[in-house]
Amino acid sequence: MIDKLPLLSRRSLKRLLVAEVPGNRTDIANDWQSRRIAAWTIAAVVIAAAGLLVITGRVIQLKIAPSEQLTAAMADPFSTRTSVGRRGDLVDRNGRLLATSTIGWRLFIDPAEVEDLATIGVQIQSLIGLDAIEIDQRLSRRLRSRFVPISGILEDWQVDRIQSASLTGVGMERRQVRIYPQEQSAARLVGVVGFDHEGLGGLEHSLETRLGGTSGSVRYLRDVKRRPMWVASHEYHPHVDGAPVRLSIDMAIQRYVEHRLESAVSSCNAGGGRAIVVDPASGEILALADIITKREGWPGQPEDPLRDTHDRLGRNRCVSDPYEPGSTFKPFVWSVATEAGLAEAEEVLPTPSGTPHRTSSGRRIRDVHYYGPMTWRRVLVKSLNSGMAIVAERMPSELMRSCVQRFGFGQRTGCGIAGETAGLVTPASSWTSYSQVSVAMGHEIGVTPLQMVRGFSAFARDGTLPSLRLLAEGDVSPVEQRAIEPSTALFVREILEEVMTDGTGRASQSDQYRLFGKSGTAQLPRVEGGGYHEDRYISSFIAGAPFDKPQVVVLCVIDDPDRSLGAWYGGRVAGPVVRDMVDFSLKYLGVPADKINDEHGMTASR
Amino acid sequence: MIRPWQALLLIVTGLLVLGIIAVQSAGLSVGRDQAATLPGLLLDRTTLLGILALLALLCGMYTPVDRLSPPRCQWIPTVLLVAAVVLLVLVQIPGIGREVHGARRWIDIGPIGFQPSEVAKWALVLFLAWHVVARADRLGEFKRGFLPGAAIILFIGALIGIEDLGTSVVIVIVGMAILIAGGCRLSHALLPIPFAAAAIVAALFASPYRLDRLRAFLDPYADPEGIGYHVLQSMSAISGGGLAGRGLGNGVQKFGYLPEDTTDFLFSVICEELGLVGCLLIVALYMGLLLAGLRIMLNTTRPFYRLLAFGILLMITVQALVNLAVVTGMAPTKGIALPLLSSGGTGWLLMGFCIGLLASIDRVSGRSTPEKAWHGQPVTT
Repeated sequence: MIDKLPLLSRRSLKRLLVAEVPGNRTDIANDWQSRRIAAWTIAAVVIAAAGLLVITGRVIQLKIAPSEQLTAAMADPFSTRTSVGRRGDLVDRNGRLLATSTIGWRLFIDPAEVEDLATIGVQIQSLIGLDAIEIDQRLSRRLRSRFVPISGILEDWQVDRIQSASLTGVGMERRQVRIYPQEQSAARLVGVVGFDHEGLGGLEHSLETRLGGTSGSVRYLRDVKRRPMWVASHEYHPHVDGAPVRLSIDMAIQRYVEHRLESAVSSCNAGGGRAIVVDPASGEILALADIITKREGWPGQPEDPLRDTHDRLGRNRCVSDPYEPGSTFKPFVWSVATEAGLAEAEEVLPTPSGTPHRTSSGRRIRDVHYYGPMTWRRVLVKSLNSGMAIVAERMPSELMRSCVQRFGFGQRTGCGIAGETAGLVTPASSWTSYSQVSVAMGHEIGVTPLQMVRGFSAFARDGTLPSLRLLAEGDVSPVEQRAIEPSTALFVREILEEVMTDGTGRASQSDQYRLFGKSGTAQLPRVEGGGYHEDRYISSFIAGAPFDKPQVVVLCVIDDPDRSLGAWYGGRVAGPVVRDMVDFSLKYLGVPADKINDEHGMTASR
Repeated sequence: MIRPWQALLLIVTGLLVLGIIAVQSAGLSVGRDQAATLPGLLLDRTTLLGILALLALLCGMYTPVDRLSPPRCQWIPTVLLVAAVVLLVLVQIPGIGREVHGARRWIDIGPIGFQPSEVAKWALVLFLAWHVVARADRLGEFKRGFLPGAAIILFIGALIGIEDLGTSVVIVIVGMAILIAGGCRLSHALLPIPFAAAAIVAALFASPYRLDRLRAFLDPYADPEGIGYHVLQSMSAISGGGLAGRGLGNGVQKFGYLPEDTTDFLFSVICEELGLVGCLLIVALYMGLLLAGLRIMLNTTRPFYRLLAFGILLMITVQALVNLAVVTGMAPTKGIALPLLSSGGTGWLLMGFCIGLLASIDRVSGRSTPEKAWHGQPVTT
């Protein structure tokens, strides 16, 4: 052992030896002490190792299975902030704002933070004039909540005052506010948003997916003073603003149409009225109006309970409520029958001269006037039911049904207005010869005003139907379907111009534009008991202009005009309305007059 | 084969590096004027202190520990102890002692601040080791063997306990252990326990915050926002991040939620950021420190070396265990730092020096071997 350690010093060798010599008192004590210390050290190390093990176990327990109490007590150092996407604007075809969103503030109280709940209401009242009693009531209902809204959207001066007062426990919440700059114009068409800025009715509702923004959120770590620290990239979701939507509506025309319709409805004490202006070439709807009046003592009065709840809510009867078009339907049947060669325009038909016509099944067909035998052409100009019935009986029922279908009746236009119906068309299984004659006169068929203008647009075009649309987007709409040949369309248009000059539309002539149109006066169906009212009507008029290159088709439906006021025929009640709307629209659109006036005020067709 | 003092050096370096990194991470905050840069971190006070601590360790390593052993040089431990007592008295005097968190524990000399209790605890260890070995033959007696040592321990413990009950308890435990291991009777050592207990109870009731800490330990959930906040935040930090941890620097609790994150509660931050790996790393380093110290102690037969090694190891171990028990919610909150990890300042330097003394023992005994090992087994190193 010694030889292995060549550097052994004499001193240490001696120490080693001395330690091994028994009997040296100090060294015995030293040896005993050394062993005792070593034993205690080993014991201490073992205890310390055990302690470290216990602590490791505790750490693992805290990491894997923290107690529920601890989990509950753990502070969540993350906050989430949401951001709201701005709702898209609704504008008319020229960019006029119909609906837009801004930011507003509303007041809320956190009762837990307020110093003196008893006086906070009075304080706010003295600041911004809200009712202190109402504030106190709202607070007392929800004292435990940390968020009690106590006002609607504040005005600017109120916001300023609240900000400068900086009351503890009183805060303002940012909210989107929807503003309708056009106020009551096109109100129900545009609709309204609810409290959370979601579309409740009208286009606000049906265009929700486009207008409504998606809200975003960001979850961030915060320090103890609630200052944001950082955000993980996957926890940032930006909000997306809603897209603006441009409508085909022209607010200038819309305002005029609404105004004119209203005066017409009130002047004939009607139950309501509807009017539509479309551009037949593009299929764009330029104006769409629908009025319901409040009249006492008129059973079967049009109703819409929703309108009473909110002046921007309610159905749009131009697309939802079918009516029997009456004589305005005759041009469709006339054109199809002529095109099929079932009657020549100049063929003289045995229309009666004094008594109602009787069909082959013996049904009495009445006319307003009895002119005696008339040509098929004059049947349309004078709107003779008897003539229509005679030719209708020549038509195979399939052809009549195809006529209805070719002009788009029984099919929705799909223009994008909610609540659109397809109208009512008698199914083939119930189609009788009675149906055949009724439909030829515009009865036993329910059409919506919108279907009516679509079908009539075929005469203003080349015999095809436009697909109607409410949004000014994309190019000229594709041709939807062909109803009649272009030559037939032009021919019918000529006859419809004759209606204006020499038929039921005489009262509705324009002195500037060559209109082609047709009146209709259908008896009002009884709500109860079936059949029709003898003295109540739906009077309508539909027309297009200018003649060569029609730019508008206008329909006006007057629901149930008061007969006691002396006028109820479509040509009298609705015709002038349509004429005024056509005149206004064309002048507004800058369409030159196509009627030549001489200096004596006489008008003449070219 | 690596020698124990080399292992010691590596372990201490490892602990200091881990400590510096963890302290830097825990010290991150929002809204600092300057962004944290690598040179900025490397020249930081903590890093400098870490380097100084290593230098102190080298100083301790080259201290001729053999010159200290009894019966030589009694004046050194005595002077150190008297100096420590003087400092402990001075720190009580307003104007000299600086208050931190309501306790006057610091003395500032220029830019350098230190706690006299740090000086006192190591001076006591050295003094007791010397004293016990010098009086080896009389230790069994109560009056002449046990009482002088015990009196000094309790006197210093009481002085420290005025402002720092936790450190006081640690010092009394370590001091008594040195007496017992050195040869005093266990029954004698049990005698002061009632007095110490009475003193602790008195201290509890003298300062309401101590009672609160005890209540918080017993039921932290009773007042999670108040007295229970500290320990709950610490346990949340340890629990947070799961076994894998949130990743170095990604801890959440250090942003104001967990107080004292760079000092007493550094372990919680390490567990949150480094997960179980961080915890195991620390446990392994301390275990390594203990085993290397044990090896050194067994390699020498000189009672003074053994007792000095025992005292130093025990001082480190008790502090570490108390700290870990506190931050894991297994003991009431005490102001005890995690040795060599918590941002310690002068505490690091003194501890580095004392571990250097351990290495010095290894060097001295290695140089002067062959000595007979314990149980007469030859020791190969």
